[in-house]
Amino acid sequence: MTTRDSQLLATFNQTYEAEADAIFRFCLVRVSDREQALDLVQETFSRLWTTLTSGKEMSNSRAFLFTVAHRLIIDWYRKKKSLSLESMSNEESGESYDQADEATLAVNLELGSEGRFLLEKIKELNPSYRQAVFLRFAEGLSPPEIGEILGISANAASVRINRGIRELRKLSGYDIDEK
Amino acid sequence: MNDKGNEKPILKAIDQVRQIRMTEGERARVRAKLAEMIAQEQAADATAASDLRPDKRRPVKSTFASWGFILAGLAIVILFGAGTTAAAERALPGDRLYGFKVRIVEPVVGAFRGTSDKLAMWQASLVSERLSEAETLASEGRLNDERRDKIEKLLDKHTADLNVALDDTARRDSPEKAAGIGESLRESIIVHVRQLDDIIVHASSSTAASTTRAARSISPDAIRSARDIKDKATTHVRDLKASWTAPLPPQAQPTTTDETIQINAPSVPTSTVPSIRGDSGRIRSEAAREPSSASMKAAAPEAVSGAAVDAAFDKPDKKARR
Repeated sequence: MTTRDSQLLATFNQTYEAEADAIFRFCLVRVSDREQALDLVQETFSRLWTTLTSGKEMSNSRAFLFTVAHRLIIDWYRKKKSLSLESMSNEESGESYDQADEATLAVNLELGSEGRFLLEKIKELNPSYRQAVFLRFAEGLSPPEIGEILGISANAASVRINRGIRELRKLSGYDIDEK
Repeated sequence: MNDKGNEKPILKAIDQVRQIRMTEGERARVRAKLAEMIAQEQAADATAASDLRPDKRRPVKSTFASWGFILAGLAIVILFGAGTTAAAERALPGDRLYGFKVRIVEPVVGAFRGTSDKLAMWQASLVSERLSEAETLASEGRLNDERRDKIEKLLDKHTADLNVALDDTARRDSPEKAAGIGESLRESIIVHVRQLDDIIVHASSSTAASTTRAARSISPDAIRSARDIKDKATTHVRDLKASWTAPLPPQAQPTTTDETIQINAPSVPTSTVPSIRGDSGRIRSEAAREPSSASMKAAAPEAVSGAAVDAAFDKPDKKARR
Protein backbone atom coordinates (compact mmCIF):
# COMPACT_ATOMS: atom_id res chain seq x y z
CA MET A 1 0.00 0.00 0.00
CA THR A 2 1.51 3.30 -1.03
CA THR A 3 1.30 6.55 0.89
CA ARG A 4 -1.16 7.83 -1.67
CA ASP A 5 -3.36 4.80 -1.11
CA SER A 6 -3.29 5.34 2.65
CA GLN A 7 -4.27 8.94 2.18
CA LEU A 8 -7.11 7.97 -0.12
CA LEU A 9 -8.27 5.39 2.35
CA ALA A 10 -8.18 7.92 5.17
CA THR A 11 -10.20 10.37 3.10
CA PHE A 12 -12.61 7.64 2.17
CA ASN A 13 -13.06 6.53 5.79
CA GLN A 14 -13.62 10.07 6.96
CA THR A 15 -16.20 10.64 4.27
CA TYR A 16 -17.94 7.39 5.12
CA GLU A 17 -18.11 8.26 8.81
CA ALA A 18 -19.36 11.74 8.07
CA GLU A 19 -21.85 11.14 5.28
CA ALA A 20 -23.06 7.54 5.42
CA ASP A 21 -26.07 8.36 7.57
CA ALA A 22 -27.17 11.27 5.38
CA ILE A 23 -26.95 9.14 2.26
CA PHE A 24 -28.79 6.35 4.01
CA ARG A 25 -31.55 8.76 5.04
CA PHE A 26 -31.77 10.16 1.53
CA CYS A 27 -32.19 6.63 0.16
CA LEU A 28 -34.43 5.25 2.87
CA VAL A 29 -37.15 7.85 2.51
CA ARG A 30 -37.39 6.95 -1.18
CA VAL A 31 -37.02 3.22 -1.44
CA SER A 32 -39.22 0.78 0.30
CA ASP A 33 -36.91 -1.03 2.67
CA ARG A 34 -33.80 -0.75 4.76
CA GLU A 35 -31.92 -3.50 2.99
CA GLN A 36 -32.41 -1.77 -0.32
CA ALA A 37 -31.30 1.53 1.17
CA LEU A 38 -28.19 -0.13 2.61
CA ASP A 39 -27.36 -1.60 -0.79
CA LEU A 40 -27.65 1.84 -2.31
CA VAL A 41 -25.37 3.30 0.36
CA GLN A 42 -22.81 0.61 -0.35
CA GLU A 43 -22.97 1.17 -4.09
CA THR A 44 -22.74 4.93 -3.66
CA PHE A 45 -19.59 4.67 -1.56
CA SER A 46 -18.05 2.08 -3.80
CA ARG A 47 -18.38 4.61 -6.64
CA LEU A 48 -16.81 7.24 -4.44
CA TRP A 49 -13.82 4.94 -3.96
CA THR A 50 -13.53 4.26 -7.68
CA THR A 51 -13.59 7.97 -8.39
CA LEU A 52 -11.04 8.70 -5.69
CA THR A 53 -8.62 6.08 -6.97
CA SER A 54 -9.03 7.21 -10.55
CA GLY A 55 -7.23 10.37 -9.50
CA LYS A 56 -10.04 12.77 -10.29
CA GLU A 57 -10.18 15.92 -8.25
CA MET A 58 -13.22 16.07 -6.06
CA SER A 59 -14.13 19.45 -4.70
CA ASN A 60 -17.28 18.45 -2.90
CA SER A 61 -17.61 14.82 -1.93
CA ARG A 62 -20.93 15.47 -0.24
CA ALA A 63 -22.56 16.72 -3.42
CA PHE A 64 -20.88 13.91 -5.32
CA LEU A 65 -22.37 11.28 -2.99
CA PHE A 66 -25.86 12.73 -3.21
CA THR A 67 -25.58 12.95 -6.97
CA VAL A 68 -24.59 9.30 -7.23
CA ALA A 69 -27.27 8.21 -4.78
CA HIS A 70 -29.86 10.27 -6.65
CA ARG A 71 -28.98 8.56 -9.93
CA LEU A 72 -28.90 5.12 -8.36
CA ILE A 73 -32.35 5.66 -6.90
CA ILE A 74 -33.66 6.72 -10.30
CA ASP A 75 -32.15 3.60 -11.84
CA TRP A 76 -33.68 1.53 -9.10
CA TYR A 77 -37.10 2.99 -9.80
CA ARG A 78 -36.77 2.46 -13.52
CA LYS A 79 -35.90 -1.14 -12.91
CA LYS A 80 -38.65 -1.59 -10.39
CA LYS A 81 -41.51 -0.31 -12.39
CA SER A 82 -41.77 1.21 -15.78
CA LEU A 83 -43.16 4.66 -15.35
CA SER A 84 -46.78 5.10 -16.15
CA LEU A 85 -47.76 7.71 -18.72
CA GLU A 86 -49.41 9.77 -16.09
CA SER A 87 -46.39 10.02 -13.86
CA MET A 88 -44.21 10.79 -16.85
CA SER A 89 -46.32 13.73 -17.84
CA ASN A 90 -46.12 14.99 -14.29
CA GLU A 91 -42.39 14.83 -14.05
CA GLU A 92 -39.78 16.79 -15.83
CA SER A 93 -37.35 14.88 -18.00
CA GLY A 94 -37.31 11.83 -15.77
CA GLU A 95 -35.16 13.47 -13.15
CA SER A 96 -37.65 13.14 -10.39
CA TYR A 97 -39.33 10.03 -9.22
CA ASP A 98 -42.18 8.90 -7.16
CA GLN A 99 -41.79 8.17 -3.56
CA ALA A 100 -43.21 4.76 -3.04
CA ASP A 101 -46.21 4.78 -0.79
CA GLU A 102 -44.76 2.03 1.28
CA ALA A 103 -41.51 3.93 1.53
CA THR A 104 -42.55 5.87 4.55
CA LEU A 105 -43.55 2.67 6.33
CA ALA A 106 -39.95 1.71 6.96
CA VAL A 107 -39.28 5.18 8.27
CA ASN A 108 -42.43 5.61 10.33
CA LEU A 109 -41.42 3.02 12.86
CA GLU A 110 -38.58 5.08 14.18
CA LEU A 111 -39.78 8.58 13.55
CA GLY A 112 -41.59 10.96 15.85
CA SER A 113 -44.93 12.36 14.76
CA GLU A 114 -43.55 15.75 13.72
CA GLY A 115 -40.91 14.21 11.50
CA ARG A 116 -43.40 11.86 9.97
CA PHE A 117 -45.77 14.73 9.28
CA LEU A 118 -43.01 16.71 7.57
CA LEU A 119 -42.01 13.79 5.37
CA GLU A 120 -45.61 13.20 4.43
CA LYS A 121 -46.06 16.82 3.45
CA ILE A 122 -42.85 16.81 1.45
CA LYS A 123 -44.20 13.77 -0.30
CA GLU A 124 -47.32 15.69 -1.27
CA LEU A 125 -45.31 18.41 -2.95
CA ASN A 126 -45.04 18.76 -6.69
CA PRO A 127 -42.49 16.08 -7.68
CA SER A 128 -40.05 18.60 -9.05
CA TYR A 129 -39.84 20.36 -5.67
CA ARG A 130 -39.55 17.33 -3.42
CA GLN A 131 -35.86 16.56 -3.74
CA ALA A 132 -34.85 20.19 -3.57
CA VAL A 133 -36.88 20.78 -0.43
CA PHE A 134 -35.69 17.59 1.24
CA LEU A 135 -32.05 18.30 0.52
CA ARG A 136 -32.38 21.89 1.69
CA PHE A 137 -34.19 21.06 4.91
CA ALA A 138 -33.13 17.65 6.02
CA GLU A 139 -29.53 17.87 4.85
CA GLY A 140 -28.97 21.60 4.86
CA LEU A 141 -27.37 21.65 1.42
CA SER A 142 -26.88 24.91 -0.44
CA PRO A 143 -28.78 25.78 -3.65
CA PRO A 144 -25.65 25.37 -5.83
CA GLU A 145 -25.06 21.92 -4.31
CA ILE A 146 -28.66 20.95 -4.85
CA GLY A 147 -28.41 22.16 -8.43
CA GLU A 148 -25.38 19.97 -8.96
CA ILE A 149 -27.13 16.95 -7.50
CA LEU A 150 -30.30 17.37 -9.51
CA GLY A 151 -28.44 18.34 -12.66
CA ILE A 152 -29.90 21.83 -12.87
CA SER A 153 -28.45 25.31 -12.44
CA ALA A 154 -28.09 26.91 -9.03
CA ASN A 155 -30.74 29.43 -10.00
CA ALA A 156 -33.18 26.77 -11.03
CA ALA A 157 -32.49 25.00 -7.74
CA SER A 158 -33.21 28.22 -5.80
CA VAL A 159 -36.46 28.64 -7.64
CA ARG A 160 -37.52 25.10 -6.86
CA ILE A 161 -36.59 25.45 -3.22
CA ASN A 162 -38.52 28.70 -2.85
CA ARG A 163 -41.61 27.48 -4.64
CA GLY A 164 -41.38 24.19 -2.80
CA ILE A 165 -41.18 25.95 0.53
CA ARG A 166 -44.15 28.13 -0.34
CA GLU A 167 -46.14 25.05 -1.24
CA LEU A 168 -44.96 23.22 1.86
CA ARG A 169 -46.03 26.15 4.00
CA LYS A 170 -49.50 25.99 2.51
CA LEU A 171 -49.73 22.24 2.92
CA SER A 172 -48.34 21.96 6.41
CA GLY A 173 -49.25 25.23 8.04
CA TYR A 174 -45.67 25.47 9.24
CA ASP A 175 -44.15 28.89 9.62
CA ILE A 176 -41.14 28.36 7.42
CA ASP A 177 -38.25 30.70 6.99
CA GLU A 178 -37.13 30.88 3.40
CA LYS A 179 -33.55 31.78 4.22
CA MET B 1 -31.11 27.84 7.75
CA ASN B 2 -33.35 28.56 10.70
CA ASP B 3 -31.51 30.12 13.56
CA LYS B 4 -34.25 31.75 15.54
CA GLY B 5 -37.00 30.15 17.46
CA ASN B 6 -36.07 26.59 18.36
CA GLU B 7 -39.63 26.09 19.52
CA LYS B 8 -40.83 26.05 15.91
CA PRO B 9 -42.48 22.74 15.08
CA ILE B 10 -40.73 22.66 11.72
CA LEU B 11 -37.36 22.57 13.47
CA LYS B 12 -38.47 19.76 15.69
CA ALA B 13 -39.66 17.89 12.62
CA ILE B 14 -36.37 18.44 10.81
CA ASP B 15 -34.50 17.30 13.87
CA GLN B 16 -36.50 14.10 13.91
CA VAL B 17 -35.92 13.46 10.24
CA ARG B 18 -32.20 13.84 10.87
CA GLN B 19 -32.41 11.13 13.48
CA ILE B 20 -32.98 8.56 10.75
CA ARG B 21 -29.74 6.65 10.58
CA MET B 22 -28.23 3.25 10.18
CA THR B 23 -27.90 1.03 13.22
CA GLU B 24 -24.34 0.32 14.31
CA GLY B 25 -24.68 -3.18 12.92
CA GLU B 26 -25.81 -1.93 9.52
CA ARG B 27 -23.09 0.67 9.45
CA ALA B 28 -20.51 -1.98 10.26
CA ARG B 29 -21.88 -4.36 7.68
CA VAL B 30 -21.73 -1.85 4.84
CA ARG B 31 -18.28 -0.79 6.00
CA ALA B 32 -17.08 -4.39 6.00
CA LYS B 33 -18.36 -4.94 2.48
CA LEU B 34 -16.65 -1.80 1.28
CA ALA B 35 -13.43 -2.81 3.03
CA GLU B 36 -13.54 -6.16 1.33
CA MET B 37 -14.03 -4.52 -2.05
CA ILE B 38 -11.10 -2.20 -1.43
CA ALA B 39 -8.90 -5.03 -0.17
CA GLN B 40 -9.62 -7.05 -3.28
CA GLU B 41 -8.88 -4.12 -5.50
CA GLN B 42 -5.62 -3.50 -3.73
CA ALA B 43 -4.64 -7.13 -3.96
CA ALA B 44 -5.14 -6.86 -7.71
CA ASP B 45 -3.09 -3.68 -7.72
CA ALA B 46 -0.34 -5.32 -5.71
CA THR B 47 -0.03 -7.98 -8.38
CA ALA B 48 0.11 -5.32 -11.04
CA ALA B 49 2.74 -3.46 -9.05
CA SER B 50 4.90 -6.54 -8.72
CA ASP B 51 5.02 -6.62 -12.49
CA LEU B 52 6.91 -3.32 -12.27
CA ARG B 53 4.05 -1.20 -13.50
CA PRO B 54 3.27 0.73 -10.36
CA ASP B 55 1.29 3.46 -12.07
CA LYS B 56 -1.01 1.36 -14.15
CA ARG B 57 -3.97 0.28 -12.17
CA ARG B 58 -5.35 -2.98 -13.23
CA PRO B 59 -9.12 -3.25 -13.12
CA VAL B 60 -10.40 -5.62 -10.51
CA LYS B 61 -10.10 -9.03 -11.97
CA SER B 62 -12.05 -12.03 -10.89
CA THR B 63 -10.02 -14.86 -9.44
CA PHE B 64 -11.52 -17.02 -12.06
CA ALA B 65 -10.77 -14.92 -15.11
CA SER B 66 -7.55 -16.48 -16.28
CA TRP B 67 -6.34 -19.08 -18.71
CA GLY B 68 -5.59 -21.48 -15.90
CA PHE B 69 -9.15 -21.37 -14.81
CA ILE B 70 -10.51 -21.70 -18.30
CA LEU B 71 -8.38 -24.76 -18.97
CA ALA B 72 -9.24 -26.30 -15.63
CA GLY B 73 -12.88 -25.49 -16.16
CA LEU B 74 -12.83 -27.15 -19.54
CA ALA B 75 -11.19 -30.25 -18.12
CA ILE B 76 -13.78 -30.55 -15.37
CA VAL B 77 -16.68 -29.77 -17.66
CA ILE B 78 -15.53 -32.44 -20.10
CA LEU B 79 -15.32 -34.91 -17.25
CA PHE B 80 -18.46 -34.07 -15.34
CA GLY B 81 -20.76 -31.86 -17.39
CA ALA B 82 -21.38 -28.14 -17.16
CA GLY B 83 -24.42 -28.06 -14.90
CA THR B 84 -22.72 -30.01 -12.15
CA THR B 85 -19.70 -27.76 -12.12
CA ALA B 86 -21.69 -24.55 -12.02
CA ALA B 87 -23.86 -25.86 -9.22
CA ALA B 88 -20.82 -27.10 -7.33
CA GLU B 89 -19.31 -23.63 -7.29
CA ARG B 90 -22.11 -22.42 -5.10
CA ALA B 91 -22.25 -25.51 -2.89
CA LEU B 92 -21.96 -25.09 0.87
CA PRO B 93 -20.85 -27.62 3.48
CA GLY B 94 -23.71 -30.04 3.91
CA ASP B 95 -24.75 -29.76 0.27
CA ARG B 96 -24.42 -32.79 -1.92
CA LEU B 97 -22.01 -31.15 -4.30
CA TYR B 98 -19.73 -29.69 -1.68
CA GLY B 99 -17.37 -32.67 -1.71
CA PHE B 100 -17.11 -32.38 -5.46
CA LYS B 101 -16.34 -28.71 -5.11
CA VAL B 102 -13.54 -29.01 -2.57
CA ARG B 103 -12.07 -32.36 -3.59
CA ILE B 104 -12.23 -32.09 -7.36
CA VAL B 105 -13.04 -28.66 -8.76
CA GLU B 106 -10.75 -26.65 -6.50
CA PRO B 107 -7.69 -28.92 -6.62
CA VAL B 108 -7.97 -29.21 -10.40
CA VAL B 109 -8.26 -25.47 -10.81
CA GLY B 110 -5.29 -25.12 -8.46
CA ALA B 111 -3.28 -27.55 -10.52
CA PHE B 112 -3.67 -25.29 -13.51
CA ARG B 113 -2.16 -22.33 -11.72
CA GLY B 114 1.14 -22.02 -13.54
CA THR B 115 3.38 -20.26 -11.08
CA SER B 116 3.84 -20.46 -7.35
CA ASP B 117 2.57 -16.93 -6.76
CA LYS B 118 -0.62 -17.65 -8.66
CA LEU B 119 -1.02 -20.85 -6.71
CA ALA B 120 -0.52 -18.95 -3.49
CA MET B 121 -3.17 -16.44 -4.51
CA TRP B 122 -5.49 -19.27 -5.37
CA GLN B 123 -4.93 -20.88 -1.97
CA ALA B 124 -5.53 -17.52 -0.34
CA SER B 125 -8.80 -17.15 -2.21
CA LEU B 126 -9.83 -20.59 -0.95
CA VAL B 127 -9.29 -19.46 2.64
CA SER B 128 -11.61 -16.51 1.98
CA GLU B 129 -14.10 -18.77 0.26
CA ARG B 130 -14.24 -21.09 3.29
CA LEU B 131 -14.86 -18.15 5.58
CA SER B 132 -17.58 -16.82 3.29
CA GLU B 133 -19.21 -20.22 3.43
CA ALA B 134 -19.07 -20.14 7.20
CA GLU B 135 -20.69 -16.69 7.16
CA THR B 136 -23.47 -17.80 4.88
CA LEU B 137 -24.16 -20.90 6.95
CA ALA B 138 -23.99 -18.98 10.21
CA SER B 139 -26.30 -16.21 9.06
CA GLU B 140 -28.80 -18.76 7.83
CA GLY B 141 -28.51 -20.71 11.06
CA ARG B 142 -27.24 -23.79 9.24
CA LEU B 143 -23.86 -24.03 10.83
CA ASN B 144 -23.36 -27.10 13.02
CA ASP B 145 -20.46 -29.02 14.55
CA GLU B 146 -19.97 -31.29 11.58
CA ARG B 147 -19.89 -28.44 9.07
CA ARG B 148 -17.67 -26.43 11.35
CA ASP B 149 -15.17 -29.32 11.54
CA LYS B 150 -15.19 -29.62 7.79
CA ILE B 151 -14.53 -25.94 7.27
CA GLU B 152 -11.83 -25.90 9.94
CA LYS B 153 -10.07 -28.90 8.45
CA LEU B 154 -10.10 -27.29 5.03
CA LEU B 155 -8.87 -24.01 6.49
CA ASP B 156 -5.89 -25.84 7.99
CA LYS B 157 -5.19 -27.55 4.71
CA HIS B 158 -5.44 -24.38 2.64
CA THR B 159 -3.17 -22.52 5.03
CA ALA B 160 -0.60 -25.32 4.95
CA ASP B 161 -0.69 -25.39 1.14
CA LEU B 162 -0.55 -21.63 1.07
CA ASN B 163 2.56 -21.57 3.23
CA VAL B 164 4.28 -24.00 0.88
CA ALA B 165 3.31 -21.88 -2.11
CA LEU B 166 4.42 -18.71 -0.34
CA ASP B 167 7.79 -20.29 0.53
CA ASP B 168 8.15 -21.15 -3.10
CA THR B 169 7.19 -17.67 -4.19
CA ALA B 170 9.66 -16.12 -1.78
CA ARG B 171 12.45 -18.35 -3.08
CA ARG B 172 11.75 -18.15 -6.79
CA ASP B 173 10.20 -14.74 -7.07
CA SER B 174 10.78 -12.37 -4.22
CA PRO B 175 10.03 -12.32 -0.50
CA GLU B 176 8.17 -9.04 -1.07
CA LYS B 177 5.75 -10.68 -3.42
CA ALA B 178 5.09 -13.46 -0.96
CA ALA B 179 4.62 -10.92 1.81
CA GLY B 180 2.21 -8.98 -0.43
CA ILE B 181 0.03 -12.01 -0.95
CA GLY B 182 0.16 -12.85 2.74
CA GLU B 183 -0.76 -9.29 3.56
CA SER B 184 -3.79 -9.12 1.33
CA LEU B 185 -5.04 -12.43 2.66
CA ARG B 186 -4.54 -11.13 6.17
CA GLU B 187 -6.71 -8.13 5.37
CA SER B 188 -9.34 -10.31 3.83
CA ILE B 189 -9.39 -12.62 6.85
CA ILE B 190 -9.75 -9.67 9.19
CA VAL B 191 -12.77 -8.52 7.23
CA HIS B 192 -14.25 -12.00 7.44
CA VAL B 193 -13.59 -12.21 11.16
CA ARG B 194 -15.46 -8.95 11.54
CA GLN B 195 -18.38 -10.23 9.56
CA LEU B 196 -18.54 -13.39 11.63
CA ASP B 197 -18.34 -11.18 14.69
CA ASP B 198 -21.20 -9.11 13.40
CA ILE B 199 -23.31 -12.19 12.85
CA ILE B 200 -22.43 -13.59 16.26
CA VAL B 201 -23.10 -10.37 18.13
CA HIS B 202 -26.41 -9.86 16.40
CA ALA B 203 -27.44 -13.43 16.90
CA SER B 204 -26.41 -13.40 20.55
CA SER B 205 -28.19 -10.24 21.40
CA SER B 206 -31.91 -10.65 21.57
CA THR B 207 -32.27 -6.89 21.56
CA ALA B 208 -30.40 -6.52 18.30
CA ALA B 209 -32.30 -5.03 15.42
CA SER B 210 -34.63 -7.66 14.10
CA THR B 211 -34.18 -6.25 10.62
CA THR B 212 -30.97 -8.20 10.18
CA ARG B 213 -31.36 -11.61 8.72
CA ALA B 214 -28.85 -12.91 11.22
CA ALA B 215 -30.99 -12.03 14.18
CA ARG B 216 -33.91 -14.18 13.27
CA SER B 217 -33.26 -17.62 14.54
CA ILE B 218 -29.78 -18.90 15.09
CA SER B 219 -29.26 -21.76 17.45
CA PRO B 220 -26.64 -21.52 20.20
CA ASP B 221 -24.85 -24.36 18.40
CA ALA B 222 -24.51 -22.30 15.25
CA ILE B 223 -23.25 -19.35 17.24
CA ARG B 224 -20.69 -21.51 19.01
CA SER B 225 -19.54 -23.01 15.72
CA ALA B 226 -19.25 -19.59 14.14
CA ARG B 227 -17.19 -18.49 17.11
CA ASP B 228 -14.91 -21.52 16.74
CA ILE B 229 -14.32 -20.76 13.09
CA LYS B 230 -13.69 -17.15 13.91
CA ASP B 231 -11.06 -18.18 16.47
CA LYS B 232 -9.49 -20.49 13.97
CA ALA B 233 -9.32 -17.74 11.38
CA THR B 234 -7.82 -15.43 13.99
CA THR B 235 -5.15 -18.02 14.74
CA HIS B 236 -4.36 -18.33 11.08
CA VAL B 237 -3.99 -14.60 10.78
CA ARG B 238 -1.51 -14.72 13.65
CA ASP B 239 0.44 -17.52 11.99
CA LEU B 240 0.50 -15.65 8.75
CA LYS B 241 1.61 -12.60 10.62
CA ALA B 242 4.42 -14.50 12.27
CA SER B 243 5.81 -15.88 9.07
CA TRP B 244 5.40 -13.01 6.65
CA THR B 245 5.32 -9.75 8.47
CA ALA B 246 6.32 -8.23 11.77
CA PRO B 247 5.75 -10.29 14.92
CA LEU B 248 2.77 -9.64 17.17
CA PRO B 249 3.31 -7.31 20.07
CA PRO B 250 2.95 -9.34 23.28
CA GLN B 251 0.49 -6.95 24.94
CA ALA B 252 -1.99 -7.47 22.16
CA GLN B 253 -3.08 -10.87 23.39
CA PRO B 254 -6.71 -11.17 24.46
CA THR B 255 -7.07 -10.29 28.11
CA THR B 256 -10.10 -9.05 29.97
CA THR B 257 -13.44 -7.57 29.17
CA ASP B 258 -12.49 -4.44 31.09
CA GLU B 259 -9.79 -3.72 28.62
CA THR B 260 -12.15 -4.08 25.73
CA ILE B 261 -14.56 -1.64 27.16
CA GLN B 262 -11.71 0.72 27.79
CA ILE B 263 -10.42 0.44 24.27
CA ASN B 264 -13.80 1.05 22.78
CA ALA B 265 -15.43 3.32 25.30
CA PRO B 266 -17.17 6.11 23.44
CA SER B 267 -15.58 8.65 25.76
CA VAL B 268 -12.06 7.73 24.70
CA PRO B 269 -11.01 10.23 22.05
CA THR B 270 -10.40 8.54 18.76
CA SER B 271 -8.05 11.07 17.33
CA THR B 272 -6.40 8.58 15.04
CA VAL B 273 -7.46 8.32 11.44
CA PRO B 274 -10.99 6.94 11.41
CA SER B 275 -10.50 3.53 10.02
CA ILE B 276 -12.56 1.23 7.95
CA ARG B 277 -11.39 -1.31 10.48
CA GLY B 278 -13.09 0.41 13.34
CA ASP B 279 -16.20 -1.61 12.79
CA SER B 280 -15.76 -4.31 15.34
CA GLY B 281 -14.93 -1.62 17.82
CA ARG B 282 -18.33 -0.17 17.12
CA ILE B 283 -20.04 -3.46 17.48
CA ARG B 284 -18.29 -3.92 20.72
CA SER B 285 -19.13 -0.59 22.16
CA GLU B 286 -22.70 -1.33 21.23
CA ALA B 287 -22.39 -4.64 23.04
CA ALA B 288 -20.86 -2.93 26.04
CA ARG B 289 -23.83 -0.63 26.34
CA GLU B 290 -26.37 -3.41 26.22
CA PRO B 291 -27.79 -4.63 29.52
CA SER B 292 -25.86 -7.70 30.59
CA SER B 293 -28.45 -10.26 29.73
CA ALA B 294 -27.47 -13.90 29.58
CA SER B 295 -27.15 -13.69 25.84
CA MET B 296 -24.83 -10.73 26.01
CA LYS B 297 -22.58 -12.60 28.37
CA ALA B 298 -22.15 -15.10 25.66
CA ALA B 299 -21.14 -12.38 23.27
CA ALA B 300 -18.69 -10.72 25.60
CA PRO B 301 -15.71 -13.08 25.08
CA GLU B 302 -16.07 -12.42 21.37
CA ALA B 303 -15.79 -8.78 22.07
CA VAL B 304 -12.49 -9.35 23.80
CA SER B 305 -10.84 -11.38 21.14
CA GLY B 306 -12.21 -9.24 18.35
CA ALA B 307 -10.87 -6.07 19.88
CA ALA B 308 -7.59 -7.77 20.56
CA VAL B 309 -7.41 -8.69 16.92
CA ASP B 310 -7.88 -5.03 16.05
CA ALA B 311 -5.31 -3.92 18.52
CA ALA B 312 -2.91 -6.59 17.42
CA PHE B 313 -3.14 -5.88 13.76
CA ASP B 314 -3.51 -2.20 13.50
CA LYS B 315 -0.16 -1.27 14.93
CA PRO B 316 2.34 -3.53 13.19
CA ASP B 317 0.22 -3.33 10.13
CA LYS B 318 0.96 0.32 9.62
CA LYS B 319 4.65 -0.28 10.09
CA ALA B 320 4.70 -3.17 7.73
CA ARG B 321 3.13 -1.11 5.02
CA ARG B 322 5.63 1.66 5.00
